[in-house]
Amino acid sequence: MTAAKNWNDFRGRAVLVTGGTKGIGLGIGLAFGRRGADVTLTHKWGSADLGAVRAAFAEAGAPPPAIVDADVSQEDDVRAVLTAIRARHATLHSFISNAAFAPTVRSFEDYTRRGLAAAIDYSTWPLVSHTKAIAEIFGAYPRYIVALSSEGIDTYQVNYDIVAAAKASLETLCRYMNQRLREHGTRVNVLRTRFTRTESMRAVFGDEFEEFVEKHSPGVFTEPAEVGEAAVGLCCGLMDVIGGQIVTVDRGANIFENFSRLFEERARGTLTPRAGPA
Amino acid sequence: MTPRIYEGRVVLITGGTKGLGLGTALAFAAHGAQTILTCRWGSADPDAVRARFAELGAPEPLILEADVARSDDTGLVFEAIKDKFGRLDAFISNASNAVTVQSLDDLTERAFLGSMRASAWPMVEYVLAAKKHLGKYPRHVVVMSSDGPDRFTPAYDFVAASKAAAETLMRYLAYRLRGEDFRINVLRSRAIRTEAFDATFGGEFYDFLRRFVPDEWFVTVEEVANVAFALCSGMFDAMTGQVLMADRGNTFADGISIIYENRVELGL
Repeated sequence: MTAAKNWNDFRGRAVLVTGGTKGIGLGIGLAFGRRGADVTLTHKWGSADLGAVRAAFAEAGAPPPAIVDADVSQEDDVRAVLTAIRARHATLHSFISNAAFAPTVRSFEDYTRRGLAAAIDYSTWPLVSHTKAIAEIFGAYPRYIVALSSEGIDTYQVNYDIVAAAKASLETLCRYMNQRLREHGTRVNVLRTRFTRTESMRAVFGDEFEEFVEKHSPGVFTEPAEVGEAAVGLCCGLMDVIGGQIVTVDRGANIFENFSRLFEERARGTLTPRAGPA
Repeated sequence: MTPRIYEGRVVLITGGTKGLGLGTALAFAAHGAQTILTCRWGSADPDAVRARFAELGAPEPLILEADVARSDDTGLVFEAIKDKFGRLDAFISNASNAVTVQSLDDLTERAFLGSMRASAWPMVEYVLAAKKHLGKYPRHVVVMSSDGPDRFTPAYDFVAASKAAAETLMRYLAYRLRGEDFRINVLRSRAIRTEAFDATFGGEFYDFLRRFVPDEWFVTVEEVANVAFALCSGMFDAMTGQVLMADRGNTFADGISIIYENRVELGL
């Protein structure tokens, strides 16, 4: 009985994490690497310190990751990444669609059709384009697909309009892809977080956000390592009956991160506005 | 090899002598856990249950007769845990005993309240009892539920209402105990073919469904048990207050659309 005997052992398994050199992507890559996986991390923008990334893997006792400069929205880049993995592995065990980019919106004037199209290109469609390319290059779909999403779809998050729209469409496609690919033995799930201390969060919410939230609404940040563990959980064989689901890993913040909680804990005394809105 | 990451840890599973409860207990035991299984008087053959654990080379479970709807029994369960093990690491709230409803005549206040007592309340009572008797909350709690609260299921009126109450109370417990080393989640499943499935729906429902879906559509006890274990494995320690559905995505694709899509193969 109890299947999935070697669920904690990823030696010999190929795992691809897009946007894997920073933040949540790096947390996920390390969680797989720690269990012996051959991890490929892609990155494009920003200046990730690749030496530090390799050092983190070494420190975790993980095999050295393959780090590839690749744009998730460019077919040629995607194919090159997958072809390199194919040279070492007959199958891709897990595909983690993490990279995302979308314009930040500060007012309604910032809504542009081009901005939404860019968000779809970089944050939604790579899930599909990678999966199609994997099938073509490996001759099979990966066993596990996990797409990273975030709170902001069901509840308001500052500046998040276009990102949220792209993530909502990503989540919907995950449900449908799970239905379409299940006959191939593939599970597609979404891993949702809320606030994680990453560069992306600072880019969208602003540099003051983290300190402000810590001061007034503590205990709602999730660490990249915690999200990484959950991603492994979805791909380890113990959760093979989970498919087409939105799995929220946020320390319960989606339940209680609201005005009611601030009221309940008002005795903390940090929130003392000078006056209400006129 | 199954990693024995639960060696030396203690897990309580209500309704743990059959069906999903037993399967979950076996998943923990395979990882080295000492399990405690509760069942109602005379409802289990303890020797047959112990044999299942012996086959796995797993620690022998402690089997206790206790009705989750009786607070006296709850106290006895936790006193026994305290005496024998002195700790509780994970609690699986699985036993549930709601009245099934065949017609409007079955919708009675008495049946409603009885269902709430036996299906929604035990989860809360056991969590509080752990603190009272053992001095701390279990690190992990998983509450078994189904998709009944959101979507129609035959005869499920009170089962669904009590599960909805349990799910809501689960969220509030997650908030109230967020300062503790504690996480609680609901694990929903559906269409697991157990004794309870046939008792609730009658064997006919299975035969009906099989005309539309292959046997692999049904979810197995082992699959859901593995998810319950995963939620308590340490990999989901940042997850609390959530409802997770273990159904391969079946609920999403449940309806006339999928039958329409397959109408030619189905001869419709």
